[in-house]
Formats: sequence, C-alpha cells, structure tokens
Amino acid sequence: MAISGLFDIGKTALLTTRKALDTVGNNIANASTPGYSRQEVVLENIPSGIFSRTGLTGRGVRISEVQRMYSSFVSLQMRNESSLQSYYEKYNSLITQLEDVFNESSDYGISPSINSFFNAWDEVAQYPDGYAQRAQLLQQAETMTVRISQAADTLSGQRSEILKSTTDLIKKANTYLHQLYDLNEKIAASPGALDLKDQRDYTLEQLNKILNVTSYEDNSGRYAVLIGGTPLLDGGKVYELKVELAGTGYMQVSAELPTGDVDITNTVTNGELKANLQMRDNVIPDYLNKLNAMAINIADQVNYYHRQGYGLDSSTGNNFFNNLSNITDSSVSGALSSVTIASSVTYGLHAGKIYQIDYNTTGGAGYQQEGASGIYWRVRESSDDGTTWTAISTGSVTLSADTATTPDYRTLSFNGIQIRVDGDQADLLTDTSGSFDLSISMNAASQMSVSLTDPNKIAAAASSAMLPGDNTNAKTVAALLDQAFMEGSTITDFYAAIVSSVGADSSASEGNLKFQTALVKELETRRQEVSGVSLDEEAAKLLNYQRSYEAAAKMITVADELFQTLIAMTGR
Amino acid sequence: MRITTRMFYDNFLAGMNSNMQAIVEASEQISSGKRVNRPSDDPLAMSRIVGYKKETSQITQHKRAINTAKDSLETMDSTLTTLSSVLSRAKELAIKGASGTETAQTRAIIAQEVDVLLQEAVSLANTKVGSRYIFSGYQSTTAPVDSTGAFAADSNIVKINIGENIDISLNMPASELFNDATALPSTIDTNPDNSRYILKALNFLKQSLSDPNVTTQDLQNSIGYIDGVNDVLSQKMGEVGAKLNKVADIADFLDDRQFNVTKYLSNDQSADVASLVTQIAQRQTSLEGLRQVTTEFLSVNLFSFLR
Repeated sequence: MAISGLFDIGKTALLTTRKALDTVGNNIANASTPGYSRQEVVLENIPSGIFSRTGLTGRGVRISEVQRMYSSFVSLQMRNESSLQSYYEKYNSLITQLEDVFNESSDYGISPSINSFFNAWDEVAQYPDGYAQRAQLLQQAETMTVRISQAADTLSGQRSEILKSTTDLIKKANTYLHQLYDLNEKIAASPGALDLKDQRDYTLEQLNKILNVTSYEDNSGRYAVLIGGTPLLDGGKVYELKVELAGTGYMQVSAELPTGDVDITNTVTNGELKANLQMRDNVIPDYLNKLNAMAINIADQVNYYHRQGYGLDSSTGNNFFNNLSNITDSSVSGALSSVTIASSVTYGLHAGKIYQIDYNTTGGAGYQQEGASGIYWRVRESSDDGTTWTAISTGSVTLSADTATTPDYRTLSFNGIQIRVDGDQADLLTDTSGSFDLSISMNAASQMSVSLTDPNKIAAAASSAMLPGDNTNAKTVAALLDQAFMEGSTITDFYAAIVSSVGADSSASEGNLKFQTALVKELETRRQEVSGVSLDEEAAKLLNYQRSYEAAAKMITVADELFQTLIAMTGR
Repeated sequence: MRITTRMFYDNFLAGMNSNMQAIVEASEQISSGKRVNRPSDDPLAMSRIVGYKKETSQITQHKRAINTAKDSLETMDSTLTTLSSVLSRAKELAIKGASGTETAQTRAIIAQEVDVLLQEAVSLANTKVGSRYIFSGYQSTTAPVDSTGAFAADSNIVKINIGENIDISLNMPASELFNDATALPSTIDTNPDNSRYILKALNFLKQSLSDPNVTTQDLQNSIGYIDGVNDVLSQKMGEVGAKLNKVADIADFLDDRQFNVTKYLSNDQSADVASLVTQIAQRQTSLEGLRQVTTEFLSVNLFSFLR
C-alpha cells in the first residue's frame, strides 16, 4: 500500500470522529428534551479489498449507522400506563372539587344547616306562640335550602365545566392526530429521520394521555392509530374526533369516518377523556340524585306534617317548602282517598318525567293484580317530552297491599319511587277504573325553597281549637330528624353516607394515583436507562473522540513526515 | 444499570415533592387543628363526625329546652310556695274567725283581709313566664282565671322534649288547682269542690266571714276546706319539685353526654399537634439532606474536570 493511503485513513478518521462528536454534541444539547432518545454512532472498519500475504488491512473507518437507543417495549408500556395515570390524575382533581361540596369538617356544611333547621322547629315547639322563634325557623329553613341548592348547583356547574374541558381535550387530540399524520409522511419520505421518530413517539404518548389508543407501524413505516378497532389515523388519512351531547344529556364521543360517525364513547377506557366522561355522566349524576332524593324527602315529609297542622292564624293545609312532587287526579275518582309519596330515592336526571298510575278490574298488558282482590294496577312513564306513554313492566313494579287498616292502602314501588295509595278495595271495585298522574320535579335539590313567608302560618298546632299554645305538630316535625324515612335511615345517616362515599372515592383515587405515578416513574427510569442522556458518559465520549481526532491528525503529520523523508531521500 | 442525568432530576423532584406535600398536609392539620380536613382524609371518621356533630347540636338544643322548662317550672314552684303562705295566712284567719270571741263586725274586717288574699291567689293563678300564662293550658295568651274567678282557659298540658324521647310538661292547668269553669258564688255555697279548689275555698271563707248570719258549722267547714286545698297544693308542689329534679338529672346527663360526644369528636377530628410537629421536623431533615446531596451531585460532573 502506498504511503498516500495513510492520508486517506487519517482523513476518514478525522471526518468520522467529527461526525461522532456531532452526535455527542446533539445528545448533550437534548439532555433535557422530553421524549428524546440518545443517539450513538456505530463505527466500522473500511475493508481495503487488497489481499496481502499477511491478510487484509483496512482503509480507515466509517460510520455504519447512527443508532437511536430506544426500547419499543418500554415505550408501549409507558404509553399504556401513562394513559391510566393521566386518567387518575384528572379523576382525582375532579373528585377533589366534588369533595369540597360535601366537606363537613367545617361548621358550615349542609348537615349543620339541617340540624339547625330541625332545632329551630324544636324551638318553635318550646315557644309555639313566639313570633321570634317562628321567624328564626323560616330563616334556618332558608339557610338549609340555600345550602342544598348551592351544592346541587355546584355539581351541575361542574358538569358543564367538564363539558367545556372535554371539547378542548378533543381539539387537542385532533391536533395530535394531525401532527402524527405530518410526522408519518415525513418519516415515510426519509426513514432515517431519527429525531422525527422521537417526536412521533412523544406525540403518540401525549395522545394516549387523552385517550387510550392502540397503534401499529405499517409496511411504509407509518403509524396507524385506532381506538377500540375504530381507525383514527390510517393509510395517510385522519378521522377527527368530536364530542356532543346525546339526547340523554350524556356526552357522546365519535370518530368522523367517511361512512358516518362512529360512537366510540364506550371504548374510551383510560386517559383524561375517560375521567371526564366518568365524572360528568356517572359519578356526579349519582351524587346529584342522592342530593335530589334528600331534598325531595325532606320537603315531602315536612310538607306532609305541616299540611296537617294549624298556623297561629288558623290556616291549615299549607306547604312549608315548595312542592317538589306533584300528584294530580287526571280522571276524577272518588274511590281513591289519598295518594302520598312514601319515599323517592332515585329518579332520572333528565326527567321532568310524568308517571301515570291507573287501575281497573279487568287487567290487561302491563297490569298486575293486587293480591286476589280483582283490582289491577299499571304504571306508565312518559317519554322525555311527555308525548308518548310506555308501561313499566310488571317485573319492575312492586305492589304490596295492606287491608288491615281503614282505608285499605297499597304501596307501589318503581324506578326508586315508592308511593302509597289509600282507598278501600271495595270502593275501587265498584269504581272499576281510575288513574292519577305523578310528577317529580327534576333537579329537586336546586329547586328546593321555602314557600312559607308568613311566620304565623307555621303550623305548630295540631288543632285550630288549641291555638296558640299547642306545640304537638311542631314537636312531630322536629322529631323527623331522628326518623328513618330515607331508605330506612335518618337524614343525618343518609347524608353521612354520601359524605363518606365521596371521601372513600376520593381517597381511593388518590391511592390509585400515587401507585400509578410510582409505576410511571419506574417506567420512566427504565426508559432513561436505555434512552436517557448521561452527561458524564457524553463527557467521556467527548474526550474519547477528541483524542481520536488528535491521534488522526497526528497520523496525517506522521504520513507527511514520511513523505518528506522520502522526498528528501530521492531529491539527493 | 445505566444511570442518566435525568434520573437524578426526576428523583430529586419526586422526593422533594413528596416531602413538601407531607409538610403541607401536616401544617394544614396544625393550622386547622383538625386531623380530618376533607372527607377523603378519613371517610369513615368523616361520617362519624357528621353523626357526632348532629348529636352535639341536639344536645345543645335539649339544653335550651331544659332552660325553658326550668324557667317555667321554677316560676311555678315559687308561685306555689307563695300560694302556700297565702293559705297559711287564710287558715290563721279562718281559725280566728271561727273562735267564739269574734263578732259579726270583727269577722267582716277579717273578711276584708281574706278578700285581699283571694285577689292575691287570683293574680298568682294568672302568673306569666315571659308573655305566657303558665296555668292556662294551650291558651297561653288567655288569663286562666277571669274576673268572676272562673277558669277560662283549657286544661291541655304543654310538653317539650328535653332529651331523646324524654319530654316534660311545662304548665299546669289552673283547673287542677285554682277553680273549675264556674264563677265564684257570692253567697255561702257548701260544695265538696270547696276542698279541691283554692279560689273556692278562699271565697267560701270570705263569704262566711262577711255573712252576719253565718253558722258555726260554716266557719268550721271553712277551716276544713282550707286544709283540703292545702293538701292538693302540697301534692302539686311535690309534682313540680319532682319535675325540677328530673330536669336537673337530665341536665346532668346531657352534660355527661356532651362531654363524651365532644371527646369522641375530638378523637376522630382533632389533630395530634405534637406528633405533627415531629413529622414536619423529620420531613425537613430529609428535605435538607435531599437538597444538599442533589445540589452537590449536580454541580459536579465530568465536564468540570476537562480542560
């Protein structure tokens, strides 16, 4: 081999080392870039192709490839787990807000206002003729209804906030999808673009934090993105997501496929979007319903007893709270003496629903017989707009009759509502048919208010002949605080159960979040192990390549000196 | 295992965050004095706290009711005591009137004093607590004894709750002690009711003493009647005394109960400040260590030694 070959070898060494130093420099520059994968040059010998007796010698060094230090398995796990983590993170922040509504650690929550309300009744029982006590009772009632309706309003407000944030989230998801599309195209055009691959993985991870998508790399190096089998990004096409309110009032997330929108709401199982869906359309309605049930039961019970009593002005039959349920006799029927709501626990959030309850002596579809009496009952519910009626199947209506008292009564339970219908069986049989409507105001809790304005109308007395000192009715109402009229528990217990259930939910989500965060941190460590930049390591490499560069330069000097020697020799 | 620079940052951040969080939580508990500051801190304790608070508020309310009951019963007690001295004086006068030394004229003078006693008894029957008559049943704004001396109210008993399922009557209808619904007669009227009703007994004495043609038997009877109503009065005084005892007992019980419930509430709710302060100190130590190690470690790397 000629001496000039040494120059070549030196030159390749200089160029390659320069390139390697570039990589080190880039690694150092991106030490803190999220999603960046460390790059490493792989050097190889350039074979000379000249065979000598002593064997092959090389012609220098070259870069065989620049490697992206990346573990696709860790990345996949990271995507899944961080999707779950962002679900818990969002869920936890939302439930914390919910918790504030039911926070009873202070002395100004809902429960103290309920206590004060019933205490005020007790105060009226002590001074049935006292104006101050009565005025105080109205004041306390006002405070209680405000607390309860404020809580309900906050919950409803939170639902609309979540809807807004979901709209933003969907916009963000669509932006990520378009970014992925762009990156896909660039990577397909130049498969060696390592930085772009990093960016694409990072974007995919961000998308996963919003909703749990699956992805695979197709033959052309493009990522296809799917959610539960529905494509969002496929073969160079983006199918955008959108969110809207379905007829039920719940959020519906769909993908806009060319063949039409596909509802993907139920396939979202993780990510921030799931937390929003879960909280807005599942958790909050549940607590709102409980709050509504509490409001309606307190109002119904207090009203029921209040109507029987007499005010200082001898007035009777007044409601204390505004009526949250309404019973109308649509076809006049003298056989039914009274209908009362025994308890109502849950009802549809979107109701304004009307129930029609009717009886006859012949039966028919949807009717069931009251014991062996020959009287048949049926319960129908209206559609949301109140135009069509659907019978509730007999399996979902529990009917039990009591003939031991006068008048006979029967209780009908359906959709969490229990009503008691009074009327002698014999009368009903003679009457042959009848019906009445029952409606329960939706958002009872937020509509709860005191309808009484005149303290003198507070019915403390059980009889108009016993005014003004009779306190028996006030005592009965005051005693409601200890009566188990809410699903078999007292108001305090019922409310305490709501509070501890919110607390347990929040505490569990906090625990889940901590666990998941630790898991993601562990995965991040593992990813860092493979992909992360160690400055010490880069410094060592820097030194290494610097020395190589120096050595290569030295080699060129040596080659030059060799030439000099040769030229000097021949020139003599 | 490869160690990278990011790992240190991440670990430092996570460690600092968890320590800071613990310090924030502990200092929140110290500043609020409460261990449970939101339902998730201890869901079960929170639901017990709701229950205890309800009980505390009920106890406070029952104590207010006890004060109302005490007001009424103590007034009634002192009214009856005054009434008892009225009757003693009446008996002295009755004995004096029945003695043979008195003439119709002197008896008429005694009758005047008896009339004063009768008026006093009527005004005692019309005793009020605040704006309420205590002897007039539910008709708390109507004077129980009218100008004719007849009972003009009703005989209902006003009861209030002073404990869970414990009630006590606040009043006593005048018809049990003073008079029934008939007006006081203006003549000598021998009637067995005279030994049941104080006003009737006093009126009989007054009528007997003021009637010049009174018989010795009537004068003797008037002493018997006064003894009779005195028995009724002592019985009533005994009842009121028993009620006052009951009220005092319940008040003691409520004090005990309140003490206990407050203790339970405090067990569930109050922060253990001493242990919290220790916790904070511990966290601060580890935080300090973390800061020192991290800053020292991160301030030096291989680059510092290259030149």
